Amino acid sequence: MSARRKVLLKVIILGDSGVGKTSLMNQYVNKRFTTQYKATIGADFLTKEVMIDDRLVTMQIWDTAGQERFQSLGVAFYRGADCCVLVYDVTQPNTFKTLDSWRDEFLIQASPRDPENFPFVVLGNKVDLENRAVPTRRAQGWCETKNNIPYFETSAKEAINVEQAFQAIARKALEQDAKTSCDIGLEPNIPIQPEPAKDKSGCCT
Amino acid sequence: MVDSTNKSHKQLHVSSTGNAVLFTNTGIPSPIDLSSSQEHCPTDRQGSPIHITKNFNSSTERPINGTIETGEQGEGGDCNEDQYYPFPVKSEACIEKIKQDWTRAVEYLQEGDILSKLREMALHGELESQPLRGIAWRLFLGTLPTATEDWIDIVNKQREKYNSDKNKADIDPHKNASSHPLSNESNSAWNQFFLDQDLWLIVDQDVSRTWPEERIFTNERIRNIMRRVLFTYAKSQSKVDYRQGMHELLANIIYMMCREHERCPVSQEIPEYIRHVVDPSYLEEDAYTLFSELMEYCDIWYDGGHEEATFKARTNIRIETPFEKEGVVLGLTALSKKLNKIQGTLLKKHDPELSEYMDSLELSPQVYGIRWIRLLFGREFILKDILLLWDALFAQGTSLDLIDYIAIAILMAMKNSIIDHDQGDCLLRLMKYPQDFPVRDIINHALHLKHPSWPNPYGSIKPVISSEKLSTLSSPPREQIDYANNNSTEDPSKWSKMKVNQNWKSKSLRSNTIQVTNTQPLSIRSKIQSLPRPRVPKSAHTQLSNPLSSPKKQSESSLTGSNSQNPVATKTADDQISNLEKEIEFLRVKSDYCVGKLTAYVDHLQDIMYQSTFATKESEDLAYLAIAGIKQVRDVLKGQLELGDSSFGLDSNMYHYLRESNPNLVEDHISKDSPPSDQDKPPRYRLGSKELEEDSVDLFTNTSPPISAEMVEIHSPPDPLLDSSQDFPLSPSHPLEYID
Repeated sequence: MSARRKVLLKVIILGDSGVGKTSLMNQYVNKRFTTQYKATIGADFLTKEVMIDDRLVTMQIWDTAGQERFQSLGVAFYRGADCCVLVYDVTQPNTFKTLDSWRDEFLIQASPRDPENFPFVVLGNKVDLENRAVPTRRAQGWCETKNNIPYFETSAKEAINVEQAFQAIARKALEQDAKTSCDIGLEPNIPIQPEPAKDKSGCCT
Repeated sequence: MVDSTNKSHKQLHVSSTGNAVLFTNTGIPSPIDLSSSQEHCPTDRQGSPIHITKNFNSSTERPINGTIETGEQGEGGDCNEDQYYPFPVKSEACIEKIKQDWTRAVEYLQEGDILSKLREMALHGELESQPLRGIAWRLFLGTLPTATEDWIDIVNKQREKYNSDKNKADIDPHKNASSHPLSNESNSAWNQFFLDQDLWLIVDQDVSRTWPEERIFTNERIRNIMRRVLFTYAKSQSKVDYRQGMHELLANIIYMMCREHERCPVSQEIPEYIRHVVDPSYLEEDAYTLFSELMEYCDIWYDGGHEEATFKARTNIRIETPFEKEGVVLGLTALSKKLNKIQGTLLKKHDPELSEYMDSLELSPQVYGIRWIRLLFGREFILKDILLLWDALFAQGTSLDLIDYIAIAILMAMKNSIIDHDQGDCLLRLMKYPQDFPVRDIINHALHLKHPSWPNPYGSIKPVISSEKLSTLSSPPREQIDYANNNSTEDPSKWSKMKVNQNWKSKSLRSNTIQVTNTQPLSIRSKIQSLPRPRVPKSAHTQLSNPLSSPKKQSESSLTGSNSQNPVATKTADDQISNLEKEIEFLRVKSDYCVGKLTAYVDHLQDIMYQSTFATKESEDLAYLAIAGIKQVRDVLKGQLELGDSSFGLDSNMYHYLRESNPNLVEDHISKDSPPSDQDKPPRYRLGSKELEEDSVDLFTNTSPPISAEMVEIHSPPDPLLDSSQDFPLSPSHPLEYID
C-alpha cells in the first residue's frame, strides 16, 4: 500500500439538551456563534478537514439531540465512532451528573472492542457565564476516575478553548482509528503515539 | 402587546406564595427571598410552573385588538393579493378585502360537502389564498364536525377543556399539608412539583429557540402561550411526556392560527359559527385543541419505548437513578419501523436504483429521517411551504400516511445528489435544510406515488428535454412517441411552465408536421375544429380556480386569429399551423386535466358506493354500470381505450367524425413511422373495423389529408400496451352496434 488510506474520523457529541453541543460544533467548524440555534432533532452533522502531524484527515462530527434516546438513532449510528465527546453546562449541575449515564449508554450502544480505553473527551461548556455551578476540580475528579478522560473548559460563544479541545479530539480519534484499522488487518498508517502531554495541552489544570 | 421592557438577562419569577425563583438566561433556578417583589413585577412573563395559575387565569394577556404582530407583513395598509394581510389590520381597503374573501368563502362552503371541498382545495394548494385554512385543518384532524350548527357548542367545550386541563396541570404543593418538601416519596406533591419545574425548564428551553428567525416567535405573549400549552399537554394529555420537536409542531399551528386571525372576519354578515371558531382571543385554547389532536396521531413517533422509564428517571435529578440496563433492550420504536419501511420497502418499490445505492452506503434512515417525521417535515421547507405541505398531509387523512410518500418524493428529488456520491456527501445533502426544491412538486409527486392517477408533476419536464434534442434531429416518429409517453402525466400546477415551453414546442412540432401539412392547411383546421370535445360529466367540473382558464383564452384567440387569415397565402399557412398546433397542445393538456379530475371523482364515488346499501339490486347495478361508463369515458380520454371499444356508444356527431377519418391512413401511418417495437401494437383507432371502412371509402376520398393521421397521432395518448393499470375489463364491442 503505497498511497495512504483516506482517513475519515467519526466523532459523536453527546450531552443533555441545551448544553451547547450544536454551538460547539459550529464554532469549531464554521467559526461562528449565534443565539439562533434551534433544538437539534435526531442528529445533525458537519465535516471538517484537519491537519494532524502533517496528516490530512476528515472529521465527521455528529451532533445529537440532547433529548434523543440512543435507541431511536439505531446502534449503527454509534458503531464505528472513533471518539465520543461528552458535553455539560458548567452552570447546570444536573447536566454534569448525567455524564455518567451518557458515557455508559454510549459504551453499551457502540460496544467498542476495548471499552476501557475507548477515547472520550469531556467539555465543560459556557464558561463565559458568571453563574458557574460545577467546580473545575469536581469535573476533573470525575474524568480521572474514568481512566483519565481529557477535560476542557470551553465557551462556544467566546470561542474559548474550542480549537484546542477539538484538536485533542481529532488526535484521539485518529489514534483510535489506527487501532481499529490494525484490528481489522489494515496497514497501520499512523504511528500510535499516545501523547498524554499534548492531550492535556489545552486542559484546565 | 410586546413587552419591550423585558430584555434583561435575569428575570424574576414570583410564585403564588411570593417565593421568587431567579431565572438567569441559562435557565438555572435558584430560590431567593423576594417576598415583596410581586408588585414590582407586574409584567412577569416567563414564569415557572408555580407561576402558571396566575398567568393562566389572567385575562391581561388577551390582545386588545385580538391580533398579534407577526412581523412578516408588508408595509402600511396595502392589500396585495400575493401577500398576507398586514397585521394588525388597519386600512379600510383591507377590511373590505377580508370581508369579500370571507363572503366568498362562506358562500363556497355552503354549497355542499364542506369536507371534500376543503380536501380538494388542500390537495391543490389552494388554501393558501383562502381564509379557510384553520377551519380546514380543524375539519381534517377532526376537532370540528362537518355539521356547522354544532361548531359553537363544540368549540366552547374544547376551550373549557383546556382551561380545566391547565388548572389540573398546576400542582400547588403548599395546599397539601401532609407533604413535606424534603420528602423523597415519589408521589408526594412536592416531588411532583420539582419534576414539574424540570419539565417547565425543558419546555422553556425549546420554546425560546423556536423559529428564531420568525418575529412572531420572539413575542413573549406567544412564547408564554407555547409554554403553557406544551406544559399542560405534557401533564394531562401526553402518553410520552414532552419531547423535543413537539414545540415546533405547536409553533406551526400557532403560526397558522395567527395568520388566520389576520383575516379574522370583521363583518357581521359572516355567520356567527365561523366568527366564533376563528376568534383571535382564544388562540391559546384553540392551539391546544388542535395540537393535542395532532399529537394523537404523531405521539407514537416520539415514543422511545422502553427508554422512557430511564429518561424519566434521569430527568428527575432528586432521585438519582442510573440508566437501567433493560432500558436499552433492543427493539425498534414505531418511528424506526416507519423509517425502515420508507427506505427499505417503499423506496425500493418506487426507485429500486436509489434504494439499492442508499443500501450500499449503509445509510440508516434514522439518521436523516427522525427529524423529517417528528416535525412532519417542519424544517425541510420554509414555514410558508410547510403549511402547504401540511394542508395536503392532513387532507389525506389522520393516519398521516402521506408522510411516507413525501419522504420518498424528497429522496427521489435529490437522487442526483445521492447516486455516485459518497456517504458523507449524501448525508450532508439529506440533512441539509431547508430543501431547495419547490414544495408543490414534492406534494404532487407524493400524491402521485400514493395515488398513481394523480398527475405526476415531473411528467412534463422530461419531454421538454427529450423533445428539444429531437427537434434538432427533426425526427417525426420519435417526437410522437415522446408525446405519447407523457400524455397523461401533466400536472395542472405546471401550467405556467407549459405556457413558457409552448413556443419552442410548437416550433419543433412544426418542423415535423410541416412537410405533411402545408399542402392542405385548410382541411386540417376543419378536422381539428371537429375534434371531439372531451366529455366530462358536469359534476367533474371544479369550482376551484381553474388553471385552464388562461390557456383557454389563448386558444380561443388563436382560433379567431386563424379565421381572419387568408388560408391561401403560404405565409399565413405557417401561422395557421402554429395556431393549430397550439390548439392541439391545448386539447391534449385539457383532456389530461379532465382525466385527472375524472379519476379522482370516480374514486370518491366508488368509495362511497362500496359503503352504501342500495334500495334495490337494480339500482345498485345501474349505479355500478354508470361508474363503469364514466371510467370508460375517462379511459377514452386517457387513450387507454379506443372509442370503438367502449360500450357507451357514439352519437351522430362522433359517428360523423369517425367516418371522416381514413382508417387506411391510420394504418399506413403506423406501419411507416412507428419504430419496429411499435409494430405489434393495435391500430390507434379501432374504427377501422370493416363495415366502417367500406362505408367510409367513398365518403372520405375528397377529404383525406395525411395530416389527419398525424393529428390523431399527436392527440393520441399512451399506448394501451404500455399501461397495465386498467382497472376494469375491456369488452370490445362493435362500434356500429351503438350507432343510431
